[in-house]
Amino acid sequence: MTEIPEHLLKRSQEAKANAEGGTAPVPESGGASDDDGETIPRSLLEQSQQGGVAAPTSGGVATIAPPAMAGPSGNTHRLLTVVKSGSIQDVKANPGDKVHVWPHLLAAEFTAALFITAFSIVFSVFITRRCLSWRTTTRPPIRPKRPGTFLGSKNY
Amino acid sequence: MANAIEKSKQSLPDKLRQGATVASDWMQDSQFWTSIFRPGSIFRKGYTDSPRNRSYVVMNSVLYHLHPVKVKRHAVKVSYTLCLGGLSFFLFILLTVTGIFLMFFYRPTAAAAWSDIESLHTQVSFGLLVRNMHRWTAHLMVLSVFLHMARVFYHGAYKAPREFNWVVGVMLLKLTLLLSFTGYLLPWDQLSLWAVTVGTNMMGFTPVFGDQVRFVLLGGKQIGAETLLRWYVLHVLMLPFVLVIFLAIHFWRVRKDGGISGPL
Repeated sequence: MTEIPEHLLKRSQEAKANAEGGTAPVPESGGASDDDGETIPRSLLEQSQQGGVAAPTSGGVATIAPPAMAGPSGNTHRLLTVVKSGSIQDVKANPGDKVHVWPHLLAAEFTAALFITAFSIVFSVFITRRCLSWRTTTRPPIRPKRPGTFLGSKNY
Repeated sequence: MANAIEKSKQSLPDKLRQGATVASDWMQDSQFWTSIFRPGSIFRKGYTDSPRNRSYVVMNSVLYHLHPVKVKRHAVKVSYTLCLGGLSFFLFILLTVTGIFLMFFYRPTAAAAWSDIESLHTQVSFGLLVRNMHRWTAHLMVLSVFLHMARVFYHGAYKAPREFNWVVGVMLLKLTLLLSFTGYLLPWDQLSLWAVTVGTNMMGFTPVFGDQVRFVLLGGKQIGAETLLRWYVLHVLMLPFVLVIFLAIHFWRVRKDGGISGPL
């Protein structure tokens, strides 16, 4: 079970007390206050100390809640990026990821089919390729030209 | 008794309307009707537009069986690669329809082939238009199949689990090119003759079996009436038959492999 951060517990106790009309109960001596540094998870504290970064020692904001979403392998951030992995690596499909074939896909396909039919008809009306003459092996389809023809010389 | 009196007071249009409703209900409840129109069909009695009935429409219709009930949202997003595979299939259908029309007026014999095409242009209603459509659609199909393959390749959609379907797709590209090439000879004009001469000469350089391959393709030592008949049968019967089998496998594998591949 996820451990509830200390400052949230304190805040909820205060809110509960306010709702009941009494004063906020003082946290038990066993509980840690904001000043004692124990509000920071031990792993993060060690990590920051190893990295040479001074850990915040005062103020409730120092408490970091565990990330709600994590990647498939438990990683919370993608390498070389600051984008939280959970936001772009969805391991579970959402119901909204899929749409019904009818009418969404079929409408798109029908539109594409209509377009291609219209295009081919219009193209065929305006561009015609009639047959060449009847086949005969004695006459090649194009008059043969010497290579010089393509180089611009007149010797053909 | 009261009902009978009320019935007798109804006007003729009301009676007709009521009779039509009764007949319609009887027909829609009959076994004949329900055996044709499966649950979810809009022609079934009491159809309501619900996700369950939409699912039934897809599951119970042969036509819609090409599709799953739902597709990924990005699959219907309009993009520059939208529907290239579907368009290739649609062009194949268009080619089949126009090809059947052309078959009514074409005889695959050396004496009649060229004159049949000429008379198709001048004497048959819409003959020139349909032949043009068949021709340009064939070019378009080669282009769309090629672009479809290019899209699959550059998106890396040929990778697991779609390797098998990629191979099927390559076979389909080859079949499309063969269909295009065999259709080239059928007008039996100068272009056909020399294009096929060049093509079959290239095939004649197949290692070890070159001469045999060329002989089988031409139906003899050189292009003649046998070649025309052989390529006609290949073009209108054998290659489309094989293509349809591969298409069925291709569509089936698309669904089995998890539908259209996702964005990278």
